[in-house]
Amino acid sequence: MTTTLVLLDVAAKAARMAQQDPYGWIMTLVAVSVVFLTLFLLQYCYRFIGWASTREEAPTGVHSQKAARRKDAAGKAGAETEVAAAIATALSLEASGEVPAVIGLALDRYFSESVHDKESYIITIKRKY
Amino acid sequence: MTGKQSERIAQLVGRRGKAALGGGPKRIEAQHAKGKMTARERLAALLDEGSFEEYDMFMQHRCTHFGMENNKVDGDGVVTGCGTVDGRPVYVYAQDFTVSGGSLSETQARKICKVQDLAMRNGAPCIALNDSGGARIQEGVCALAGYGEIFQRNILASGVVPQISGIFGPCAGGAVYSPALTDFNIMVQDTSYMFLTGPAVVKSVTGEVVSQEELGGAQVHSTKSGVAHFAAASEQEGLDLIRRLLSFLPSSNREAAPFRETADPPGRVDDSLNELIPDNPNKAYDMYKVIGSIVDDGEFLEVHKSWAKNIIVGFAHCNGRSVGVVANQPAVLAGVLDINASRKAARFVRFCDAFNIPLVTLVDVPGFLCGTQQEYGGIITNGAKLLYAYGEATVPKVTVTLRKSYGGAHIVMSCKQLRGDINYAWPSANIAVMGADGAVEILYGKEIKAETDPARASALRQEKKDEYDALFCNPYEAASYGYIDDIIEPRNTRFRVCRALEQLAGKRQELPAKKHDNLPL
Amino acid sequence: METIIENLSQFWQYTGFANATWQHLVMILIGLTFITLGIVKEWEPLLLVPIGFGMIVGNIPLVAGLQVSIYEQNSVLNILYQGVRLGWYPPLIFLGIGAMTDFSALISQPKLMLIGAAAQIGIFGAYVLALAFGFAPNEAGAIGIIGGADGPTAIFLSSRLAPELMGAIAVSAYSYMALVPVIQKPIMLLMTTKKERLIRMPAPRAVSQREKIIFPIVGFILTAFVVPSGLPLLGMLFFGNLLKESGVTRRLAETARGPLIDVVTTLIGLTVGASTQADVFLSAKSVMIFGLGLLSFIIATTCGVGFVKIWNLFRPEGSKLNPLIGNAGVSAVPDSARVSETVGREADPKNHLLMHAMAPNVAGVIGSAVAAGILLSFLG
Repeated sequence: MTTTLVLLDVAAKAARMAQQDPYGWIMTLVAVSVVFLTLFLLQYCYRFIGWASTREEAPTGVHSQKAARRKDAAGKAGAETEVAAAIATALSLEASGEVPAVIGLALDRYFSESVHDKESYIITIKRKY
Repeated sequence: MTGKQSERIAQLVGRRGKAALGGGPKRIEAQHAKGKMTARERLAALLDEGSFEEYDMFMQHRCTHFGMENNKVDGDGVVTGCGTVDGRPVYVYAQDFTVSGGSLSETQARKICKVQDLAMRNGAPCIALNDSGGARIQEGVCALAGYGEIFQRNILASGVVPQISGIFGPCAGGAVYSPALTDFNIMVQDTSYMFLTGPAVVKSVTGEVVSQEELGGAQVHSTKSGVAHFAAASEQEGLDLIRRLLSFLPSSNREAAPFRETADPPGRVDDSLNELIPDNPNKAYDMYKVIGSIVDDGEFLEVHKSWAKNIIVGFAHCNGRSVGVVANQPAVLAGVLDINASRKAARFVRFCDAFNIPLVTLVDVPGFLCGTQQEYGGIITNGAKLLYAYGEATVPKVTVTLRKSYGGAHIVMSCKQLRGDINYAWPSANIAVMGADGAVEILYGKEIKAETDPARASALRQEKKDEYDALFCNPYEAASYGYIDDIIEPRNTRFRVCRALEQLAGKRQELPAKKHDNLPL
Repeated sequence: METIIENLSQFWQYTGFANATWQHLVMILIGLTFITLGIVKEWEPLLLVPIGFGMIVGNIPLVAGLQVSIYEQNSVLNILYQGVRLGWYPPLIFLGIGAMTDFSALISQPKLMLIGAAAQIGIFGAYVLALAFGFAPNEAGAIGIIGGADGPTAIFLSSRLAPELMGAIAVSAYSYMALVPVIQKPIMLLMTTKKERLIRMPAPRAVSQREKIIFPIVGFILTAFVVPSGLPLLGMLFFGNLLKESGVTRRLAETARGPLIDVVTTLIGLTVGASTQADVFLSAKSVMIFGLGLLSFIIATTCGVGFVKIWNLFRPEGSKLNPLIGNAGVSAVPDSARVSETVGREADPKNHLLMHAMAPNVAGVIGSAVAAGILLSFLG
């Protein structure tokens, strides 16, 4: 039975581990380092990709102007990105009840960076000239 | 047609053609050479195409002095009649400079009086296009009587139908009183001038040497004296201005101004207004931005643009309704009220009141301008004019206090006690007897003087100022007494003003019966 | 007459009433409790209701040989249980998770990934403690993975390393994931100063579609090369994400995060619940597992927040991170990110940390899968 073999294997390995590393420090050290290393390399990859993508949008020449404009747009787009990301998260959470909460959060952020007085913005009076 | 009739018809056509030429082709050319239009050209540009009907084209003068009986021109130097502007009837008269220099005769006056009477009876505006050398000397006293008749009708029509004077040429001597009595004057740069006594007489009496332009040109009257409400760069522009002005006004005091449909929603929110008021209370901002934000499509026809710039008055539409806007301009003289500003606003407020045009007032006034010049000039009486105008007005009055509103100036600027209908305030509003600086000096002056150490004195002063600020320099103090109806977020101003105007559309208010008031003139 | 009584008594022998022991009843009670918690309190109902019901199913007193018990070859439950035992349900769930997760928060702020790495120290903290408590290394590894705050990962690893503890481990993992707001908030408040909580971070940049497509491909290749034993989980996670982001496989992505994940979640919950047996579940070991599970969460949160604080020491003023997002490295998506948001808003109502916290949150998913891979390669 494959399962039994697997389990026997496991037991053997476990016994060896218990011998070599009874308190588990070596395992911890190695594992944590590997995890950090992996994610560190990963984040470097993405930083590079991100840098490469944003560089492509600004060809040499009108660099500073475009960079300034991009920053401006990013500032404005910043809030919108967060909003969009929040909405995206909401949509991706279809399986759970967090959807209304996250959409509400997104809408709240979209409509105001700060608190506003509430108005109905409709005039219901019918004119009789 | 029988032979005789067709002859008569031909005669009519011929005579009409001749009358239409006024003083003749040579004089018309001379007029054009000066950069001026003829009377009929002006009327064609002013009125809707094909709408003009001329009256008294064949009227002639009756003067027999100085050989005048041999010099009769059909029409006698003025073109009068009825036309339409944007489909609404108006009565017009345009003086014809090509006939006797447009000088006023008894006949001319009778023609003018006829259209004035028609305008009053039929409830239509009366528009005068002045271009005249003055009284016709040959007529003597009859010319003066003619002027008198015209002025009397200006007086009777005042407040009944809108009266607009376009000064398109000289307007000197007694003739200036007609424009002085009418509601709005439009002058044209370089070609129009108004003065009671010309440069020649001035030189001989006072020795002052001054040109026509300097004495009474469009620039002078639109910036220094305030006699001209508008200064146009060209005659065409002046005529367009008259058309534009009429679109804000009713045809008579019996009706409301026409609605102007707009796609600009009343609920339009403008976040920039939230950022407009600077944190530093002594820093200025541009009131035009507020006006532009709250009116339909940002369209604002400013009256007296270049005179008394510390107050802004003009016409606009809010949600399609014509309104008169009065606003202090913090960017000029910090928005204080002085003699000219008070007079400018007072006349405007009274005009709007006479013609059922609601008033929207935007307040940011630190007080009245101080100093001997103002006091000797009678700031007291002139400030009272504006106070009177607001108190007397029975049109809907919507007031928004943006920032400062101190002391007497607060009362003057359409406060609740002057029967202000709706008084809003922005959260930055500061309604108090006076600002913190002055108040602290009065309330704690002794204490501060008693403090010998200057650092501690200024710290004490600051502390007291902060206390005063916290207590009075906010709209909640006034709101707690009901002197402010609501405190509104700046970005919602347009919506609130538009809605308030709708709520007040049915307003009816009376004044006690009296022959007339005793306005502090 | 006698035959009837005999038949009846024989029938009685087969009933649950005859075979019930107090352990069975307790387990059924626990199952009912989970169902109640799921329905009434709405704690992770998608998991607690199947698990609760599964517990009842698995603990109906049976006579051996009826071929219905979950541990009896070829019974229905047994066949359904293979996905858990052989460990292919969790990867399918990861496929769905990858297809529903938006990684753009992570892509636009890659350095926040390291917070996710820091929080995984909780796994190994619990591993060390479990060893100290006397568990065998493989058991300790399976217990430690509770700190990864990832249900499928926990089930995957425990099915490989210590299948008999899986019931307790799964229940513990899901319970603490539901309790994340309760567990994390006090630690976050304790470890951060008022000033630190007010730190504002700049809005993340917009992420292009191309970057979102490159992310899963590069991510998978890199992590799989480093930790090939994590292949099933990592591969499915990134594959699901690629299905989502490619734009041309929308149907597959929708199925993965819709019907597929729903089917697998139902079966995994039911069978995990059914696999809980009283003798193993109601033991001192389970109590210790619950305790260690809680500790692993605490350690993970502490390490996450602590990592951000240490990071801030090396950063100039103005580019500091808000330590309140440190807890989001504990990859209970999106609960721990929401805890960051609420605690951040309490300190400053205008400071929205949610999007920033999502980055370490999803990085933690990757991190815990990598950690599981390492544990598997060492112990499995």
